[in-house]
Amino acid sequence: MNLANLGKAGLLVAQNRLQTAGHNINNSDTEGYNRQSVLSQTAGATATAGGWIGRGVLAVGVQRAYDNFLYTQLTQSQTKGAALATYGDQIGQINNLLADRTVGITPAIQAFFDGLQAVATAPADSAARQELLGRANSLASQVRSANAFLDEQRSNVNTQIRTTVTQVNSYLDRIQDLNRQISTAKAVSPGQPPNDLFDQRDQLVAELGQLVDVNVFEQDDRVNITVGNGQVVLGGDSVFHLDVRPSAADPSRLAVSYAIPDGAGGVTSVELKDSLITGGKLGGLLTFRREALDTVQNDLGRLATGLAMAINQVHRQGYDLTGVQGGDFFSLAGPKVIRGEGNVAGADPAVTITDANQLGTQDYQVSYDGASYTVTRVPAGTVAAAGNGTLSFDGIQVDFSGVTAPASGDGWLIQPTRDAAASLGVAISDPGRIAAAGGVDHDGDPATPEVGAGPANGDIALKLAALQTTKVLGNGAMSLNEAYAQIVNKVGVLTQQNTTAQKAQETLIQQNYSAQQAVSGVNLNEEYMNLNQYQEQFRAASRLIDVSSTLFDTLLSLRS
Amino acid sequence: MRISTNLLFNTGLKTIGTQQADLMHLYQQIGSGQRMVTPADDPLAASQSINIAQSQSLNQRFAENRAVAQRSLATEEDALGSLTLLLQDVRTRVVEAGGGALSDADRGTLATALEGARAAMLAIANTTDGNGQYVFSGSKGQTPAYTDAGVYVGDGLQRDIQADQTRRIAGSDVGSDVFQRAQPGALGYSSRQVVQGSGSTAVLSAPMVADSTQGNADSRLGFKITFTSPTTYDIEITDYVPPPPATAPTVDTLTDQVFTPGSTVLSLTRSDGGTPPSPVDTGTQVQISGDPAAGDEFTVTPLQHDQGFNLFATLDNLIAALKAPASTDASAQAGLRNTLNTAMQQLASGYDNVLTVRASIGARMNELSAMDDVGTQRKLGYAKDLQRLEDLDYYEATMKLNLRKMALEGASLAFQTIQSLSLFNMGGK
Repeated sequence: MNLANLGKAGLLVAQNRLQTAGHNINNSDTEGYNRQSVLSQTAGATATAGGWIGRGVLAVGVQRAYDNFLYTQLTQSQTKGAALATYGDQIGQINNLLADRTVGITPAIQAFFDGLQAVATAPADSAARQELLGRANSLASQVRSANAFLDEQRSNVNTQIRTTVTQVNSYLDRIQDLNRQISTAKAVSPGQPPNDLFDQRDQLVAELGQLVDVNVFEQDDRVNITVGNGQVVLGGDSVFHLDVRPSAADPSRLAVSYAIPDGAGGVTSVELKDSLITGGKLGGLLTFRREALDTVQNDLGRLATGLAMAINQVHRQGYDLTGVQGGDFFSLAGPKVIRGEGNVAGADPAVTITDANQLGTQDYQVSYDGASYTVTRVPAGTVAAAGNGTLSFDGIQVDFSGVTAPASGDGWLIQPTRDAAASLGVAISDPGRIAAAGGVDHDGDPATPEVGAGPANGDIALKLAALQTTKVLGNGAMSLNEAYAQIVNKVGVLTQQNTTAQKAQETLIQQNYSAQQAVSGVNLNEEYMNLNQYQEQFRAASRLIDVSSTLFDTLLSLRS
Repeated sequence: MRISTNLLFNTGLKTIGTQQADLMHLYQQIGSGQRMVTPADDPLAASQSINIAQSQSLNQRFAENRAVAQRSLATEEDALGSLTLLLQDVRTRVVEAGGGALSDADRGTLATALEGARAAMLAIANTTDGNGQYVFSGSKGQTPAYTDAGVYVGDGLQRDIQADQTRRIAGSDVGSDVFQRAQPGALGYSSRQVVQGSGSTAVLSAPMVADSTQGNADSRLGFKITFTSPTTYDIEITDYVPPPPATAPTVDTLTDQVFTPGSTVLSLTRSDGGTPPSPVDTGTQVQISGDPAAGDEFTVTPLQHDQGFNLFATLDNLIAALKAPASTDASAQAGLRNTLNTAMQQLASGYDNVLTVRASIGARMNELSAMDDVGTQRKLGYAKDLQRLEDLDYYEATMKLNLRKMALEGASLAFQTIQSLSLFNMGGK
């Protein structure tokens, strides 16, 4: 009697379906879960004289509702979204730092020049002089503290890069592990896809994508992963961990490096250019450092350099209370020259800033090709100067005459203003040393040096005070205050751009997510309907057995 | 399209999150009264407001500078007001001294009074301001402008004060411009008897340019007349503004000019530059009375070019002359008369000069007041600009707040409604 078998087949399939619906309901909130369904087909038919009699239903497998295209689109948009969000978190901090113009550098600049005006108006007033020194110190400390904030952020970025790379490596290990599990599962049950393992792996790859932008290639149920412009980090059965190390060009910044086999059984680590990683948290961090942090810190350094050089230049022409010629008012460290890793040359070039007004906010990479030096702007990439001896460009002078025995490939990174803000200080501590007075020709002979005018003279203080509105930066385009306003504007614009991009990206992610969910997501109402439907099926199938039993009983009762 | 339950919750959360973020921003705006919570809200306005704030603080600073200038000019004006009264008094005394009926003792009394006036004038010249700085000593504020001997030891540097973006105003005047200068543009002369010849009764007074067509309309020529005998004199002519290419004053001499005893007017001549030089009339005359004697030496100097002009020296000469006995001797009388004439001429010019300096102080104070008015106007303008850039429009913000509140409530309600529509919640069996 086949009716009972039919009932049994129906029951089994209904049970499978109920189980799968239950699995769906259970995992409706599981990240990365793809809705599953039971694939069934008829169990065929038996030929009889009366025709082909069906043998019932057969469950042939469980499949997940998965669309690779939609999934890839979603993870890619999430990768970009993660980069934007990280960038936004970072620049948001600078943006907040600059939020209130009534605190910080703006009022300090104003107070400093206000103090200069007070000295110019009453040059012999020692209280005004003392106050000017106080205000100058306050300005220097505001500039230093803004820079310290940026430095802290830089080290914060370094820490995050390190942590993120560790996370990336951990994900790579887990993905590799799943690759293996999937292979094993395929071997155990050939022909049946291990859907839940696939889901887990896809989810891990998606989460990896939030850390760094990766390219994924699937091959024989394994995924291979590359980063940057094709560096393999997971290939075959091997994981090549990313690493973090101080950049060769600038040891103060951590760079991501990857490992390649060196042919002798070991691996060598190669630095990955920052610009190759643009997605995920790592991409956000690197982009922020390159695009925002470096330039803002250079801008701030340029402001400090412009301030110190412009004030010092005028101050040196003045005479203090005792008639002694003025020295430097502000102290400032010179440009930073970073020696390239593995340089052969015996010494480093001497770099001086000759004109703060011509200074840009770029760094410079010097390279030696065996015959002459080439100076390239970083990150613009344009050549600033080339030759030997002394090169002058952008208000900077580089003297190579002290460099002994350079070899082809030697290089230096010049950061003219990066550390300037950190080193800004006030060089004088005695109010009497403020050189407010101008010089006078005491003997009518222009050839002999001038002597200082009396202490009631404020000619130089007037000139110093006039620097507040003099365009001392950017080739005569900006006053100090305007330079600061430009920094605020730059950070504001970068933040605003990021916010806009982030909003657009979030919308895109949401769209991609809903498209992906439309295919793969669990709808509880649907499952509820399915449950009812499968329950019906189960009831009907059991009814078959009941009928079969009744039929059997009927037949048996014929004998009695 | 299948709406997954996950998506439903996710979307609900995102919507409510977005609305809440907007509300938060509005709260921050309303709480701070600032339109821009961070520069990212309006980068351009953020940088503009920094620049305007600087202009505002500069404007404020210039107002303070002007207040300092006003104070220091007021101090100077006070001092010069006293000086004006003092010089008026001195001039009265000099006129009194010229009255012929005075005895030596009377003149001694006058001399004593003038000594007091001189001391007062020295005190005025060495006035200090609130900081203890000497007002009239140029840049050398720590040293008195004049020594007891009446010598200026300050310098010629003005104390400029930045009163406005482009205007520097001198907050004081240097002492040499007050006490050692004839009033600017003066065309007058002062005559002085340098040496009195033995027994001379000649009195020189009131030099003037009688004929301005003779090349001395601008009082550029100075003269030194030396009598070699009662009827002859040598004359030395100094051209203080010689025609180019000469750059320094040039000096010519004419010797053995004839003086007719008894004449009351001495016409001053210059040389024609020939060999031997012939006299050329300069249109300049000097009144002369009495009889000159050999050895008499007079100078007739344009006030503008008188390097030795010094009110202290004038008073010193006056006092010395008044102290010398002169009652009986006609020659001594003549010498006194000459000294009094010189003093009158110099005091008159010095007095005018002080008035000129005071007028310039008044003009500067007026200018400062005018700039104060402009400054106030600007202050309003800057405040308005900043308000426009930074301040929140409360009406607009309140409207937005209501709108956002409604939106958030709507989103929450919508989420609740949709979420409660689940079949599982409907008591399904």
